[in-house]
Amino acid sequence: MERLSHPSEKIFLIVPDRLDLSLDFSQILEKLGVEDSSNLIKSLDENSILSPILTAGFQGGEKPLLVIDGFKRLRWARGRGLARLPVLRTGIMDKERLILFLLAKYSGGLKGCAAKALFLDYLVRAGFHRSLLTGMAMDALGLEKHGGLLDRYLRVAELPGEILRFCHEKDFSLKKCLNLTYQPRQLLEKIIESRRRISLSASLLLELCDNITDIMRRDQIDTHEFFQRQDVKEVLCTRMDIGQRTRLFRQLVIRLRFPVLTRLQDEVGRVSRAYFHDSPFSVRWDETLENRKITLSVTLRDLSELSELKEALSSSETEEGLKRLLSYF
Amino acid sequence: MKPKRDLKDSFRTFENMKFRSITIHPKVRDTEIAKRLGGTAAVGPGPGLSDYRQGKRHLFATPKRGELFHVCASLDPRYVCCSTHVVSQISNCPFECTYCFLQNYLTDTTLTVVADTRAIIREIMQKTSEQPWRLFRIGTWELGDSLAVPPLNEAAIGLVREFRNLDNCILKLRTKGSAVEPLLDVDHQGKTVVSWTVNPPEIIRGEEIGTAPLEERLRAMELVSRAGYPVGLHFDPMILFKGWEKAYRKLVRSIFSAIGPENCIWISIGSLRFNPEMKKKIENNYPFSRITAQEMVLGDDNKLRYLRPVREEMYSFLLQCIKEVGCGECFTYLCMERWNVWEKVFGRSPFSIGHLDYLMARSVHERFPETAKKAPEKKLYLSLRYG
Repeated sequence: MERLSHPSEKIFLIVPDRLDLSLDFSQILEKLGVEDSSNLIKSLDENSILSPILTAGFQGGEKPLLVIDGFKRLRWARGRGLARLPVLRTGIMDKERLILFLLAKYSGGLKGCAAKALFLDYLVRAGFHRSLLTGMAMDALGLEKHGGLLDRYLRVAELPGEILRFCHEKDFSLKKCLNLTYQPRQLLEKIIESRRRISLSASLLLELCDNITDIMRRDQIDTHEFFQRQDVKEVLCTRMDIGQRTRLFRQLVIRLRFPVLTRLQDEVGRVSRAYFHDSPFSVRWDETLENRKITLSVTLRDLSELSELKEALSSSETEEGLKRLLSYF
Repeated sequence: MKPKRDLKDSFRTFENMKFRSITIHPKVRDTEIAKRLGGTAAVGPGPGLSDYRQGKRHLFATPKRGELFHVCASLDPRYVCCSTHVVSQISNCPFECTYCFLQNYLTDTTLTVVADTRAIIREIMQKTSEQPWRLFRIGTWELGDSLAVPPLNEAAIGLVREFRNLDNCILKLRTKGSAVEPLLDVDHQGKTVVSWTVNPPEIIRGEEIGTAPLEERLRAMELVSRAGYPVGLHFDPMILFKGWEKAYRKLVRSIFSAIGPENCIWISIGSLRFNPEMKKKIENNYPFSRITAQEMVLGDDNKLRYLRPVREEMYSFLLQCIKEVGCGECFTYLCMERWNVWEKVFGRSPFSIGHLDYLMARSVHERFPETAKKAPEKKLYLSLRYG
């Protein structure tokens, strides 16, 4: 009867420097805030390393062994200055098996566009052929197996880490992440940096980026000059709750982006308040000022209110107010 | 006076943008256009390109496929439209205007010209004969420039000749180029209008890449008007920039120093507009351009435009400039604008799209009787229904 060898017989003790950490994806996940290592660190502090670090079978000899699992343990060991580590050389002898192993290890836990983008980018950097990515990798991530889609994810992966982390936190869709890739980096980073002062949602971030970019292009100023504007600094440094400050900052940016429109809207609003403040009508108009149309609406609770409404509708005040409002269109 | 012949300078723009390949589809190898393309052209299927810029450098002469004649795609009953018709003979354009909608529109970007002129004319005859009382203004510029560079300008010659025999049709060639030489000797009988999209030099230099400079366009205008062609002018898109008033006033004066008001058949005015998705395209393709940074609002037709009061100011100003040079009699209209904008600018607006169609036909008949022999009947035009 043949005797099976015990797995421990394949475990070697190796100096940490002989290990290649280039496949470490856990660090990227930690930066995104996806992985919490505190329990593992606690266990390592108490028990040291209980299971060996896994390496691929196809790399060795002169080259350091390619680690495929156990990155956190290895980093912990290096931090502690351990001289030797237990390492198990697996039977993974080619890139196809390696990608299967990595997909099994990571893909299940990858939620959201930013994490998927980083994972696909990680596979590209690890030297996997594009066909493996558009085939099994995208399939494992629940994505359509499509080269164009892969390129869009890879474009997202180029966003700075802080922004990707924000995208991940807010669970931005691919479309939103892609939109961010077209924004000036410096501006994006500056807005993300302002998160302590303004409360950012996905839509607000994109709105601010679009509007501030247009202001900067129109006025030929850069990000630094925009945030050095007195009015911008005043709003961002105002002592008020973050919600109010966010509202004020948004209004200021809109005002700077659409100076004529906001001025005209203010004027129309003033006329409307002057003539219809005490009337039973609520007044609406096209805020883009394109359509020549004023809508008066009333709420009637009882038929007895009708004669009062008729009177209000035919009053000279209403006529004059409507005339003034229509003159803006 | 005979027009000047030596126009080599006018082809400067073409010299800068020679085609990298010219292909003729086997089915049209015997057409006049194919013969003009010369012996260097390959015969075979088109290259089927998808990159917008790359496609501009590869010319493909193709047979007519499907229907090419239709009313202008911009027609929207919520706006006043001139209801011009188009025949899509050309697709893509060797010029590169930053605001051009083609950058977000074409799937096959190969610069394509339908070489089968007879087939185009048959379709036009069949469709326009259904309304023999109506004056059809038919442009070839919907998806490209009618006369951009040789040999595209030569492709127009066949149509110019054919339109002589179409009583109720006018051919509208529209360009930002100056390569008009092949047209000068053609017996057009006043049935072709050669028109220009015009902008001040500041805009031509910055936003209309590869197009003819203003002075060349003016020289070409002068030549075609001497050759008896009515000239159309399109101040569209008007673009806002610092000093726009002075620049547009100077532009109007320059144009009407080159041609007389009596040579100008119509003038259209419009302002910059594009779909919201085009905004990012423009910014990515032309990062130097600042046209998208102006204050714009989204209209009912899903196009971003300058604010209505700003547009009204621009149009009124330009109209004033046109009147100042004695061209107040030229038929002037707004392209893709709202009824209320017409009222602010002109003090009135047409009753309907059919009414504007009628007013244009009447103006052409009264001012250019050779171009439109029959007086239009108002009630027939008013009976036209759109949208």
